Amino acid sequence: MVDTTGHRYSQLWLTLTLILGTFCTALTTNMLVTTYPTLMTKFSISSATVQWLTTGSLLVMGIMIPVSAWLLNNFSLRVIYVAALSCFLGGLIISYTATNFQLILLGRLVQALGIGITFPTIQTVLLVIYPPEKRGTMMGLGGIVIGLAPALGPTVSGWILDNASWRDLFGMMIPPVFIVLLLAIFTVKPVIPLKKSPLDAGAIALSTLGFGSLLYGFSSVGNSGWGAPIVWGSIVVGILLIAGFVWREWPQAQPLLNIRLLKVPSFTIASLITALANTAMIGIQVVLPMYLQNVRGLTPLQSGLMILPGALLYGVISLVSGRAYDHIGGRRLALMGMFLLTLGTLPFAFLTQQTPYTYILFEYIVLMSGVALVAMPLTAASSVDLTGIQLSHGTAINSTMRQVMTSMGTAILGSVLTNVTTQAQPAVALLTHAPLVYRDQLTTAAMHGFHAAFLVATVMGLLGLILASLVKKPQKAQVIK
Amino acid sequence: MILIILMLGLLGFIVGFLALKQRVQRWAVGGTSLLVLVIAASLMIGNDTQHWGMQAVTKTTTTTLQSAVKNDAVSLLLYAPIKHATTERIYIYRPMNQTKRQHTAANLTTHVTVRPSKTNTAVLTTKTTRWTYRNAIWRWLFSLTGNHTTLINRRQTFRLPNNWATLSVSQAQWLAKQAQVLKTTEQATMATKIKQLRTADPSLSVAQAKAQVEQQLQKQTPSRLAKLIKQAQQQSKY
Repeated sequence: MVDTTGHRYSQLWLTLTLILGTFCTALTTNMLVTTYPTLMTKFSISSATVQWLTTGSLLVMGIMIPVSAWLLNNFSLRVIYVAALSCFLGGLIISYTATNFQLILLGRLVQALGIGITFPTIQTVLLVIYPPEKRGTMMGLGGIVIGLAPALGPTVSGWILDNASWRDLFGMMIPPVFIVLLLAIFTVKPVIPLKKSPLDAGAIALSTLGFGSLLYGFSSVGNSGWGAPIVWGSIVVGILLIAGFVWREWPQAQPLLNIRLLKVPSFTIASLITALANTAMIGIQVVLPMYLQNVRGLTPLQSGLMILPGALLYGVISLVSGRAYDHIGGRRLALMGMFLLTLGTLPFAFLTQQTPYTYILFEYIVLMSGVALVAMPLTAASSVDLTGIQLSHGTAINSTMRQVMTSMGTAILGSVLTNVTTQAQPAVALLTHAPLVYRDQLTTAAMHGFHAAFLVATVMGLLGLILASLVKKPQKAQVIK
Repeated sequence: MILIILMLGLLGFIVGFLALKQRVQRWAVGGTSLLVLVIAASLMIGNDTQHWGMQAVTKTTTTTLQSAVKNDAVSLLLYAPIKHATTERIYIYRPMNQTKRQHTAANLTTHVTVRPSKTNTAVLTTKTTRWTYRNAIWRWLFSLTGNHTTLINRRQTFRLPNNWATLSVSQAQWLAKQAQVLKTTEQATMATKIKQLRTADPSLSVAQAKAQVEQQLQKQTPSRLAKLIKQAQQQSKY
């Protein structure tokens, strides 16, 4: 293959480098949650403070992703990717050598700067360098790492924390990231045609503050509840700023983010479906470990192992479903996937305090199979009616959508869990004169909370199923391929 | 088995709808698998929440008891309140011919009652009710799931003869202390009483006087002990 400067390059090596890079960044993103208790005692900080490792990087990513389309169209891919990986590596080194919490957080934010670019980059590059009839297969390949990382992360970090220190979570990623960085210098070529446009500082400010504020609002729900001024205030301000961003961008010929793409039905529906599937999956990956650890008393490592088989199968099915997409189109996959996702989530709304672990493990497999049928193929499907420069904009839009909906979904599930649990909680006075009844009522209250949260996730699946029925059947020509 | 069926359903569903070319084939394989999937998932939910295919079976075991602490005069069943609970407690007992003490479980599925008994041996009857499969077919269907002997409840009854008493651990400690005090005072009274007897009747030998005093004291023992135990039971149980 030939890049935009006319030089030959290897598609295989480019793809491999991008996949490895994404895997490293995604794995690190999902490893930290398990360390929170350790970091809290080590640096004597509150849980609200330690949460900033997640909130902060979420914000930085939410800010970087909408800008990614502009970056990809204005700078050489090699420059962008090497810069992103360097940021990530630098952030890792800062966190690894940190002597206080502020430095860990700083390192984390610098990492997020890199992650916010690598995520949309791999999607755009795969869409650009492969012809439409191969996109599904390649996306499926990319899906392996995107799906595996969130599931492997907690397991790996649980194991590392049992055997080494929190530092090694950052430290062990440094050598592989360094190798990927070296690889990137040689294998990543400028494959995305540049279409320079002036930098619209106003739009960047609006998108940064808007998405930043919105995401901050959602991530504060867990600690402050929906009623807190900081929560709804940030959300309202965020929505207003994003509205301002849309109003400013819509009429422009060369917008920072081409939101007019949302008028393309195939793009919007497919993007919404992948976002919903992702939201339900991440939501369950957050809530299920809470049930396993708080109600059933499993360790983080054990609860990580429970969801591992589902995650591994996700990788396998992602490959198959990507390939299948190239033959049968997105509609059938979307319907099948959303059906499985709903069917796999429903049993969690009926969990009991004695549900056999095998049930949970296998129901999770059904759920993850559903997500694997939907996620990558529908990401490819979102691009069927897009060409050229639209691809990078489309990617930035649906990545942003996924990011916003996932944090919104996690916030909703988390707050449903907390609210229902708190309402059903017994009076504290009971603790002194009847501790057994108290503990029992407390667990029952938690179970109500979990049921409600999983029911919400099931509803998300059903919504996805309805949306899936709106996906157009592929044209005959496409089926024959 | 249900898990294997579930996975077969999943496999059939995915392969059927993805790989088969003709619409009829797709719905024959995929559709059937879809049905299998839904039924298997429903059975799992039903089995977990409503105990489909299972019935409650109660088993009764009886254990003969000896006193939880060594005490010549009275046998004791001990209990310890859970933290500062008013009624929730665990009972500590010692089965016959065993040196190790055991205790009842601290949870709400275990209900313990203590009853007086007319016999002269103390026993503990445990009625354990568990979910078990109705028949071999259900058992086969849910094999390999790890869900076989879910406990429903455990009813334990201590039947104690009237030479037994129930005390909390701290009350029993109080009793032991009092008994020690009593013993020293008793020895002092005995010494003075022997002296008194021998001054009244110098012909008595020390041994004879001692025997007489002991006989007197022995008569009072049961009522004194009863009083002491009553006192112990009035002490704080925590």
